[in-house]
Amino acid sequence: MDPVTHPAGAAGPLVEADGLMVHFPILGGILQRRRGSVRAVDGVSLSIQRGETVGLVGESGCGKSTLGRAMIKLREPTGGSARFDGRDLARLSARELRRLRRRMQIIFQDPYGSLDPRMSVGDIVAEPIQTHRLASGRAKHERVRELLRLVGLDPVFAARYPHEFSGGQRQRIGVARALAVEPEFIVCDEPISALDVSIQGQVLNLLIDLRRELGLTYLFIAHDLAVVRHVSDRVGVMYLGRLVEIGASRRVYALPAHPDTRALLSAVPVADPAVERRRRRVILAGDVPSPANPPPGCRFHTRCWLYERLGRPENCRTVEPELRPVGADQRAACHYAEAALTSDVGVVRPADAAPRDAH
Amino acid sequence: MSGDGGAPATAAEPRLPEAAHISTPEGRRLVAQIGDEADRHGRKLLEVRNLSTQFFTPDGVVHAVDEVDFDLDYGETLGLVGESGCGKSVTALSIARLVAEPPGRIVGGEVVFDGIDLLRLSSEEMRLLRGRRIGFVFQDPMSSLNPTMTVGRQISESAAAHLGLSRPAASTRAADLLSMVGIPRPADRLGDYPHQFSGGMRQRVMIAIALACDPMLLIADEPTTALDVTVQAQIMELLRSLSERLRTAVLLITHDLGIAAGMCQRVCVMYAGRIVERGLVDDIFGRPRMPYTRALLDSRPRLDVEPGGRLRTIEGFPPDLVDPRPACRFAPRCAHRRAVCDEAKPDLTPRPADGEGHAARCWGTEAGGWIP
Ligand SMILES: Nc1ncnc2c1ncn2[C@@H]1O[C@H](COP(=O)(O)OP(=O)(O)OP(=O)(O)O)[C@@H](O)[C@H]1O
Ligand SMILES: Nc1ncnc2c1ncn2[C@@H]1O[C@H](COP(=O)(O)OP(=O)(O)OP(=O)(O)O)[C@@H](O)[C@H]1O
Ligand code: SF4
Ligand code: SF4
Ligand SMILES: [Mg+2]
Ligand SMILES: [Mg+2]
Repeated sequence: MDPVTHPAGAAGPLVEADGLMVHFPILGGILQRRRGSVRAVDGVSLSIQRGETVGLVGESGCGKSTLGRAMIKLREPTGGSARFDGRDLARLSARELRRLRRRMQIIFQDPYGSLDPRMSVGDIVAEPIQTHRLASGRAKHERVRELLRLVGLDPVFAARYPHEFSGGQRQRIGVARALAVEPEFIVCDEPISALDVSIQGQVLNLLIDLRRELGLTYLFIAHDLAVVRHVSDRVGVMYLGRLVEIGASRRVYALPAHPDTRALLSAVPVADPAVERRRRRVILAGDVPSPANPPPGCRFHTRCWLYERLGRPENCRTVEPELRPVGADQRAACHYAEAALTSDVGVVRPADAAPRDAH
Repeated sequence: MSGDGGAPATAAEPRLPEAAHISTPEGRRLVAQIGDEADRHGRKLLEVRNLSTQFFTPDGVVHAVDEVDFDLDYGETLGLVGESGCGKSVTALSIARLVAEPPGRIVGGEVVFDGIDLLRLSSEEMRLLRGRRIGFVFQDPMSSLNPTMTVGRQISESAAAHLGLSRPAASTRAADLLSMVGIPRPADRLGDYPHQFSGGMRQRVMIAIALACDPMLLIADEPTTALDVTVQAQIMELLRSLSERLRTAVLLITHDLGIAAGMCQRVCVMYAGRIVERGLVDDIFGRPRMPYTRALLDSRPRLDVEPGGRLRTIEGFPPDLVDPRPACRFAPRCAHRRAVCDEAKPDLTPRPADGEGHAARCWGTEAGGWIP
């Protein structure tokens, strides 16, 4: 991966979450009283430097999308704080927030649902330009053409409607729309998972090129661990609303320190039959517990293979582990991270792979 | 998923005599005989020959499945891989005669299942055979489970109908099946409805229903696409151990090459309605002889390959299957294209230097071709 260049003089994180929480109420009964809450994001601290890409992985429902939305205030946090360029988003006036919005955008998973079918592609891309009064008339049209070209679409497509495009083309339209306001930070929420295999690479390359050309900062959410490694400088792993591991991708993929990270890696199928035959898998038993009622102590203990191997130590059930340093630029929330680090579960080393026949 | 694709108009006499409908004792005896090991004479469980299925739509004829040809051996797991819209599901539905007609129709070919050409059976015979011998697991369990019926009843009805079990026996069998697919406290969960199960659990229930009558062939159409990698690994492990234990053959449809690499003995790669390459997994992944297969392998980041640089991508988009080009359908996106590729249709021909059955549809890798 190319080294990331940081704009001169802009030290410090661009985006920061500090003990961020998003709890959704569970209502019940005739009076719709609050019965409890879904702790979708339950105290996450994470900072992203300018020009950096942080990947976010974890099982479905662990809170990735909710965290991504809360970091740009598309979702109101119920606790903790989210900061952008040093400013606490909760303390901004509506006007200030609107101005900041321009600098933070989101790209959604679904290239079908996220574009208004009644608007032409040109209008879809022009809309945020209008909303933020960035350009009008000819200049606006010129900008739309430029954006379409930037994402690899022919500007003549501006007059057409979303249904006339393939999934990959629609995702490009979504990217053009997000870029229209010249954002600095983009939350990419599963940007390629709805696309065809042969198209995913095109969109991934596009996102990487744009990052380099425009100096963008990404929070890149995806369930595909190989894709996340490909784009991310650092990667975070979530489980039941908590960040359980975070660190430099290079480090986390080579030496995962949390048993959940190792289990996730172990579950990824590898497109090489020789590697597949040789691998030893740990398969997590059961399903993710309800985020309304997370297990006591370490939230992962009901499914943890290391807990079982260690003979079910008591502190896993009673003491919630803190996210603590376990190596250079790597933190994990596990009482026994050192034991996890030295296990061979889950890691696929390139050296394991038989050399591909060169034709 | 409703309606049987009827036999093509040209079908000659059915293999089962008209009179011997399966509802009769005679018919039942005939179906029971299918699967008799003594009677195999070296044939395969499933021989699909030049199968073609089309959809007749207002926009034109969709050539969804075009002369698809492959074998599946007893107890074997065969992968059918390819991108969205390439014809994987329609191939599977055609084999089970579940293509909705109209607009669809099987326009040619043979599907010989354990020695019987399925395309010549009456709809009723086919229905019986399907329930008894072929199990189906679909991508989205919610749309194929009945939301208003308990899970126990859905499994036991399938078992009772096809195995002729009494109610209590069918109920015991349902609990056994749930336990076999790894659902804890199975007897307690028979009275639950599908919405009370998680996505992975529902897929386990679907597998239990598909296995209820001990099929010889399990068709699994993207059984884990909607699930997490961790749950996907659970389901794949389950399918693997069940197919080994019960010696059930599996036709596994997936767009994930990693899953095919780990699960299958052999793989067929489809592109735009045609099989473009087939062979043993090690040949398909180690020595692909069709540029599309190679490009698919190269276009995704892999955990076993150090990341870096740009991904090699396949430019352009898969073609429209209404009036597809007669010659090589991949040509507009192929880096190795030459004039012949646009002039004549390449056949699926053997690549004899490689393992058993390795075949590719590409002029460039034919003997004397230009792709090294
Ligand atoms: N608007 C909402 N109201 C109530 N609960 C919600 C809401 N949005 C999300 N949740 C719950 O919060 C939890 C986290 O959801 P979230 O969508 O953030 O997960 P995710 O990690 O993005 O999952 P996926 O990989 O499936 O996209 C889940 O339990 C979800 O059901
Ligand atoms: N009922 C139908 N009417 C018209 N065309 C259809 C119908 N069903 C399928 N097709 C077309 O047949 C082709 C093959 O579809 P099929 O569902 O087999 O694809 P697939 O390989 O299973 O794709 P996916 O990975 O998206 O499930 C597609 O071009 C599709 O549009
Ligand atoms: S703290 Fe205990 S239960 Fe939690 S991940 Fe570590 S070993 Fe497993
Ligand atoms: S036949 Fe020609 S165009 Fe088609 S895949 Fe082979 S080389 Fe490419
Ligand atoms: Mg999400
Ligand atoms: Mg399909």
